[in-house]
Amino acid sequence: MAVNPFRTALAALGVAVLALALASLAAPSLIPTVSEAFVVTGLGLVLALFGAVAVRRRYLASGERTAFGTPESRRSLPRPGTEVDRELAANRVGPETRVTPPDVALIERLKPVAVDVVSRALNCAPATATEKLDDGSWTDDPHAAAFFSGQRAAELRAGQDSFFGAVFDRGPTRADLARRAILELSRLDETPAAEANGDVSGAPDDAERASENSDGTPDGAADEPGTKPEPEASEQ
Amino acid sequence: MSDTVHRTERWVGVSALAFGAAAFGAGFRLPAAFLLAVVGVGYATAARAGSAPDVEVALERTLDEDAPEPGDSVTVTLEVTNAGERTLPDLRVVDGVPRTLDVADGSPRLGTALPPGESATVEYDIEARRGEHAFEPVRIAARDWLGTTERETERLTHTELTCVPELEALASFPLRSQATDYAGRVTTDTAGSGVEFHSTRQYRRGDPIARIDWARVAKTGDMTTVDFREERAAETVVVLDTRADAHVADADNESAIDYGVAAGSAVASASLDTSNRVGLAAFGPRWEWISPGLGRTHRVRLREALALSPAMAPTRPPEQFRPLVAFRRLRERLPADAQVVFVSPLVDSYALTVARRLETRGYAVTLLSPDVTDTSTPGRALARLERRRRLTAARAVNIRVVDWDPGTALPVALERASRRWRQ
Repeated sequence: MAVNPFRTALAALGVAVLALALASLAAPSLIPTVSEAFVVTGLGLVLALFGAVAVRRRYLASGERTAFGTPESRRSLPRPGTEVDRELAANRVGPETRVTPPDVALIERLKPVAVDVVSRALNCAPATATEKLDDGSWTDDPHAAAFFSGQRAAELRAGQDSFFGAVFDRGPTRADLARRAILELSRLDETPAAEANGDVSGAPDDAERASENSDGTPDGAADEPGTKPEPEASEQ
Repeated sequence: MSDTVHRTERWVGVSALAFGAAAFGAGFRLPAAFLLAVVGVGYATAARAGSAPDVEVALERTLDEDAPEPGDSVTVTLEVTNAGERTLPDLRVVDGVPRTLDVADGSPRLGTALPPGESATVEYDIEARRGEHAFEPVRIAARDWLGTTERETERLTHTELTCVPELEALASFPLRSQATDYAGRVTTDTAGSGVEFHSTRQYRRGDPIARIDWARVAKTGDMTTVDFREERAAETVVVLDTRADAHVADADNESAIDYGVAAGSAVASASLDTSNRVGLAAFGPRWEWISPGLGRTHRVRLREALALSPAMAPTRPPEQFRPLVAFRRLRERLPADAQVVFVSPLVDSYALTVARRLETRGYAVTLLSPDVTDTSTPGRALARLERRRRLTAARAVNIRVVDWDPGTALPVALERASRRWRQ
């Protein structure tokens, strides 16, 4: 059992005071002559010190209590896309224009979807849609356009013309741009033109094709987080 | 679970007050304040001396419904009796509601003092859902008189709620033309006897007289025979995507697996009603396979598997998924002329890969996909866009797609999909 220094000190004080009291009764001459006021005030100060320590302990005391949880609701399952939201939230640190590896991964994931949506919504070929994404002409939203066109985020500062804007507004983050791009694509996807052209394109992209082996056996390792391809021997 | 005892630190503040009062009394020569400190010391001492009571309780749980249907409200009654010889001055009990069920009304919690031999009851309602739901251990916390120490423990009292719904009713499910050699109701591309016109050809000896085109004979003198599309029985295997990635929920926390099971159940029911053989497979870490069959016994078997099979449980499977093994196992069991109705929320590209590979292996695949995506956040909006793209990719390789928004009835989605297929 761990030694509690507070209790040890308190016990030592008690023993010392008791010993002093007994000694003063048994042989008053051995005790240096001190005034009663000095003793009482000193004792009061020591007790006040212990009181302060006790207050501090109370303040810091967490107290263990049984955590019953919330059995009233069934366990919730993840929702599709949660991992992207988490990634965007984690990417929030600083309005840096530098493109990080997670940015690259997100751009690679978003680009084929964007090409598909833009080509359907604007009724153009995938190559044209790619050009529009690269030059930012696919949308009127400068933030959404900047995500694919690579425009510097700092150039999108809202108040760059004013003194305070130039000092304090450092522009949107890459995650902000990604959010705007996704929401703009989502809006485009709901347009009647995109709905009407729903089945025009849609050839699976290379990444998805690459996840299939040439022998026709699906290789889920690339797609399945947490799963690993197995050696052929294990299938026999 | 073994008992754990811990201190609640409830009376730590009393020590501070006692010291404060003592210091005040000493400093200002106030005996009353000093006496107050003595009272505080008394409380602190009693708190230190207290010990957590032994939890000797008897638990009895009853359900008012033995075989509920999904959505039914089931009343749970938990009776807690103090079987010990000492009063439990502060007893807290929380019933172990199955993690797969919601409390619909009331509360599974109880807080009371319980003298020896006395009982207290907690009563609440839960909403029944498909499957077998085992109650978790009851969690109990008991404190001493001053609430200084607490004993925490669990007691298991076995209770299971089993809900086996009937197969969902569905008037018909539009199967593809791939069929078996047995007579049935699936219109094929093979010319022969049937109802729907297929072609005409020159009369061959032995052709039924009823199929001779007599109008043409009268007009031109040529003997021609009318062929119809042959109607045969189909063999359908409903393959449910039960991988961990398919265990996702919509905004109402309704599981894609539950939607998939409901859809699979409807497909099986409609196929059996039209004399087509139906089988069932779970494509996930837990394997489930029922060979295609017909009849009442088979229907019951399908119904029970869809409701109770661990492979189709609504909770995420903890086992590791082995894609190659699962796919090979599925292919080995699928009959050569079977149609596959692959039911998946399609929230990852691997599901599409499976559907596409089955199609290229010669199985006529219908992809039935409950949509659990939404656009409430950028991540979810992206998931929706990706899913739509996968649906389009599936259509591009001639897989029939039923994009089902669970907010609408399945027949509506089927009708919409059928219109698209006819275009």
